[in-house]
Amino acid sequence: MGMICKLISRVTPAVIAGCGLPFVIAQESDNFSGVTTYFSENFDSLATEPGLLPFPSEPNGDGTDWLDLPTAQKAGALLGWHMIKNASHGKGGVVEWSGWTFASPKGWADAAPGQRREKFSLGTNVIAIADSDEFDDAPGGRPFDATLRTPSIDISRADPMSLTLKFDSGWQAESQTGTVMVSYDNQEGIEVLRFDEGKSTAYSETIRVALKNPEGASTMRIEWRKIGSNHWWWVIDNIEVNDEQPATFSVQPRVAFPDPDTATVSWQAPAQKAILYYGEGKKGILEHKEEVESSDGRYDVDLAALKRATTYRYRIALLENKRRRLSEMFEFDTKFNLSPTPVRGPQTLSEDTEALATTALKATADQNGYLLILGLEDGALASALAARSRFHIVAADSDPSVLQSVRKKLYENGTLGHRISVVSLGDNGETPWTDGFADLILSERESLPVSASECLRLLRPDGGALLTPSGKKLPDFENAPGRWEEAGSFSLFRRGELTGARDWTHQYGTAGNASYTGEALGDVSATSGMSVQWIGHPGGDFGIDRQPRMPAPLAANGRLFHQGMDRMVALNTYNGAVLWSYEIPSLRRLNVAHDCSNWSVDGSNVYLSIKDRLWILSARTGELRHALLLPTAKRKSHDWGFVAQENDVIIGSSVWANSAYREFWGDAAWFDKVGVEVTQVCSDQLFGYQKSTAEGIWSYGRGLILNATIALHGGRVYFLENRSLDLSGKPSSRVSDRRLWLGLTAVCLDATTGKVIWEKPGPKPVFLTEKVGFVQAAYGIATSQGYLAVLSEGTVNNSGTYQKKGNFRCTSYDQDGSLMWSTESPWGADHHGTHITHPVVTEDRLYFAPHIHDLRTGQPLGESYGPRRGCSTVVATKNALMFRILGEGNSPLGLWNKDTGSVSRFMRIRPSCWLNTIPAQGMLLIPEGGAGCSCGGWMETSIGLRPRTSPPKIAPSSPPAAR
Amino acid sequence: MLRADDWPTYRHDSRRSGVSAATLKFPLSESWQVKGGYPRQAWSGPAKWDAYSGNSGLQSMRNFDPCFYVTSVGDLVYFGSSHDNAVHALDTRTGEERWVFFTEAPVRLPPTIHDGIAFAGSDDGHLYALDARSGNLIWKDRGSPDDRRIPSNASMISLWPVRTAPLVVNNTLFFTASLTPWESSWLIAANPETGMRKFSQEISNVTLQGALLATADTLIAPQGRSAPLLYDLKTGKPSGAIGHAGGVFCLVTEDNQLISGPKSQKAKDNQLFLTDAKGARVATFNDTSCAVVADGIAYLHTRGSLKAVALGKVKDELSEWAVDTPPPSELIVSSGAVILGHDGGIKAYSRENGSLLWESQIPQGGAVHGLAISGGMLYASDSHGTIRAYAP
Repeated sequence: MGMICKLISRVTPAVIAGCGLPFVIAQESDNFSGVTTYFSENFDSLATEPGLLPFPSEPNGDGTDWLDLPTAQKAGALLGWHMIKNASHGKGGVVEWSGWTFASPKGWADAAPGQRREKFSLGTNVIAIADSDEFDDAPGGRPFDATLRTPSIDISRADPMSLTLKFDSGWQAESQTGTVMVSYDNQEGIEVLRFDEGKSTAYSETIRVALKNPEGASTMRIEWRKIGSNHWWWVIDNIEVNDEQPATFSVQPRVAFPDPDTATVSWQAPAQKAILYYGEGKKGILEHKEEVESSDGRYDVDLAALKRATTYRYRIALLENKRRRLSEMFEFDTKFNLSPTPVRGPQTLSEDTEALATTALKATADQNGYLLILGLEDGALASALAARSRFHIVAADSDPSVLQSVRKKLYENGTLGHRISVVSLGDNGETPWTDGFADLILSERESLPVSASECLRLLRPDGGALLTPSGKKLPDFENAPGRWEEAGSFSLFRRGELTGARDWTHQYGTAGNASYTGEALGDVSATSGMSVQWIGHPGGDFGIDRQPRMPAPLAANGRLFHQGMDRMVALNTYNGAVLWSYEIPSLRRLNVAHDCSNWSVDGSNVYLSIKDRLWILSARTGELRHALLLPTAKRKSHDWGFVAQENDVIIGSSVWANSAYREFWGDAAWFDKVGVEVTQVCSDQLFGYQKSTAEGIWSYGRGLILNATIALHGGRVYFLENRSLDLSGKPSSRVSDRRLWLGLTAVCLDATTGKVIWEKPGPKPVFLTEKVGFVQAAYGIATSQGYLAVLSEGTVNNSGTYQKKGNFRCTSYDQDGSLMWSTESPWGADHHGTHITHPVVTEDRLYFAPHIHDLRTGQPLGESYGPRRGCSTVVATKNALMFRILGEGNSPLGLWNKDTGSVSRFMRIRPSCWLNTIPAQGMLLIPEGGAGCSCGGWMETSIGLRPRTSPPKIAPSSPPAAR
Repeated sequence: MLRADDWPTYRHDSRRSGVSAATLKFPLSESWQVKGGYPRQAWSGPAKWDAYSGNSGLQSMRNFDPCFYVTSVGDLVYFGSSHDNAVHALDTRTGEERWVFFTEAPVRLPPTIHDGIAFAGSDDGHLYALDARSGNLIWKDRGSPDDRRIPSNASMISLWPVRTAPLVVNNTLFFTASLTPWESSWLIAANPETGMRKFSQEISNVTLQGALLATADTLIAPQGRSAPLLYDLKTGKPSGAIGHAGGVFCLVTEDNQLISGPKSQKAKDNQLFLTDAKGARVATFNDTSCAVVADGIAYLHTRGSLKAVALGKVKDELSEWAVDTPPPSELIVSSGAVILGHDGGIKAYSRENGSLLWESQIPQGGAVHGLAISGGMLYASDSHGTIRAYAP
């Protein structure tokens, strides 16, 4: 019988953990009862008593390296702890690593340099280590199977169901298992946590487990068991059992930036009081707090006077019944606050100017971008527009004296440059600006100083507006693409869409996942046909790096949406202006190749899956319009998985909470390896919402639905489903069980009712059995012809050994579910993403990587595309495919001409390792996603490219252009 | 006429040495400060990391405009502004503005002063020659024959912005117009007085940015995320690239060697490279982001210490002295001191023995990226857009 630990009570400051630093909330006066800690152990005392000893066999120690439990206990340390070598545990092996032992993080890392052990930054001073990899370095060191057990912990004063187990963990994935068991009053243990092949590498994370301590329980023990062989490690530190309940949010926190010095933190939670702690945390202290109240649980807290380009950390304490529920540590970075600096406008405006300014700001399609004033009087209109909006104002005139006067005035009131550019117009009526950049064109004068055709050229497509100073419709615009609208006493011409332009509303363009929308891209088929339209934010620092296969950017209705590292931004498609942005700690979803994206858009809204909700955000402003719930049965246990929408229907799915991939460090997080990394995220329920009413209309769930295969087209939802694999009791939707691929069913539902239209036997792997083989990826693509189910399978021989080859296997069903054809297409390679490339489907072709098939028959056409370097997946325009072109310039992004097979390159543009380059809305949009690659001098910036409207001019050698 | 203690161009001279023969009398005290609005930098920072390679703390390779660098001649101190698109001249004694010249887009590097003319490049694609005393336009030249302007970070910039600090060598003015590798870039040599071009070199597939600099016979054009390019000073004829170099921090030593970096983001920490005139690598300085060389001694910060290292010994880094300092964001040298700008302040150390001569904290300031010495005064430019003048 071990000793009973003393109950440790404390009131704030609460020591909290995050980012490797112990954080202390500075304030002591919070009006809540405090937190009771029932047990804590960080093993640090071993460093001094009895002190760490030299490694007996590891060569890289510094003399203060490690201890085993018996040695520690001889000196009176860690009394009551047990370390059990289970029956199968190897009888030999490296002595330092036989079972759970204790070492300094440095000593442990130095024992095997280059394995990124130092990434366990939360582990400090002395940590507990189960290292089957090092144990296996000597004979008899296999397998590793050992348990570390705490002393008996007195929880007699704890309320039932009130306890939380918290510890810091470092886990390197691959063929190892870790479990945490909890037993109460010496009863049989209950598994509360399991790490296995479904758990990706997480070098340093804080684990919190809500414990279901039963009523009347007086003691508890905790066990960590690790089973493995020559496969990595599990390290833990900073164990704590307390009654600090985690904050639960009905809508997770998000941060907006209303001005350059302010952040607004918003959330919804069932609490009428809250405290927001925040600060830089440089000294381990969140030095500021805001106490707030809300009668309806909706919180919007402005944090003012923030430093620029600074990372802030924050935690939210929800207060209810004098009890505190504390959130995990979140952060936001003011580096990504791209709000324009507010400026003051003229105190008075003439009646006409007032009317013009008011009308102008009502007429714009968005709330940020570029307003072009052609013809100046005194700059008052420009100044007023800058003061009342977030737009950048370009004010132009040809009269040097007017320009100088306006510049001087704007300079003196602090508006020039950063808010208003004052530009000289040439005398010939031409202007220097690129096509289609201006959200609005207007004038301070009675008449426009440039021609109507030039104005039309400058207006941004799909919503750009010209406000005529005379209030009359310009006859020159009679046949122009667009329409006239009434705008008070003014007339307003609004430019229409570009011919052949298409939106990119879902991960692979369409809700049907075709990777092709019909976008004409100005009929361009070579990079020389494209020109820079805009360049700039967001840059390389916005994201994580190019690697982790993040959700693709989306574009609709003149807006481009892009995700970064727990942040998103809405940009103007045609001028790159930042429309709005959020920092959302729960946003991140990675490895979409084996899951699905977390968002889609239409002309009005962004549909964003955040934890257990689907946020519906205004595409124009970012305002949260709805936060849709999961079906009732899933609300406490699941997250929102799939999202797509079409017409008046939103399709969603549920996955077990925390199943989406969020890890991003190390080569394993490239999600590219054959074998263990092919884990699929599967939904257990699919459901429909009516878009117009935000009301649920149906749900469906008969098995495991492979998220990557769900496709929506023409009012039908298609997917692959496994109805026989029973994973009950395993609260994770990451499925690596080979049986997933056996007995697949292809299903088609009516998107508006959820009723099954047809179900047919799904595609079957050729080599895979329950014991050998692997399917590397699976995709579903829906078009007007029906549904394509694609499996990418590696070849294995009779003994199950991988043969370094594989095939894309595709089964085609028509709209009625009839089998049209099946085909297979060999991989071009088994690395750099080639083997998981998402197929492209156009009107008549099916593009695997690299072979081209006839869409009607499935037959290979004997053609292939390339040369391609992998990493990124492939998308199509009317005339070209886009991918990394192998060869010159370190294989940059390029175009492959569908007609001729010729290739052309955008030198020094590197796409992300999945999809960040989309042809949409008549543009080639490349929000930055390829940064962090050490393999080239990439541009690392966001770029919008547009088709050239005329050939580039030939540059003459010239004398000074002006003097 | 230039005085010996003027600072007429970015980092003092055409070698961008950061070395002034002038003497600063310590202690200094703040004489005035000017807040010029926040710098709007051309490029964002680097990615969070290279996760696949396990490489974090990636370096920015295009950080050429983090503050409003100054130049100074006589009783005027000059800077260009990415905040208000203007070139400014201030009174050295009071900080009061003596003149301002408006361009049409951000000005990212300070003007170069030569024979009474202030040369400044702008993102509007022009090189402006201004009367250094009055700010009046003398002439201007658009770098590219084409004038096309595009949106970029709430500005309308030329597809050929002038983002290399103008350089005057042998009575020839050099500037470039360049942005992306998909459009031709331009290297231009002109008569500084008249603006008449001596040559105009069209260059493909480059991104010229950061301050131009020169050895005795070679013009060096940094590219940021690619290797600096070499051109013959007289003809503009290209002569290759310095493969062991990169970034926008470049200086030429008294021996015509080049210190530059970072070369790439492959290193796990900041690196500078010392290369000879032919581009061969002589030494690598790890954990270093800037340096200054005077009288054969390199002053650089590595592994937490500012060190004075005889250039002949750099391979084994046998230092003359070393002193623990914050990581520098700028290093320059006066006749007796090496002056270090850092996040939140400035420190001056004896060149002879590394002893601390003077320091100034800037509690609410950002990182001091720009330092200049002129007329017995020290000027410091920080990342918040403030310029401070210090006098004895």
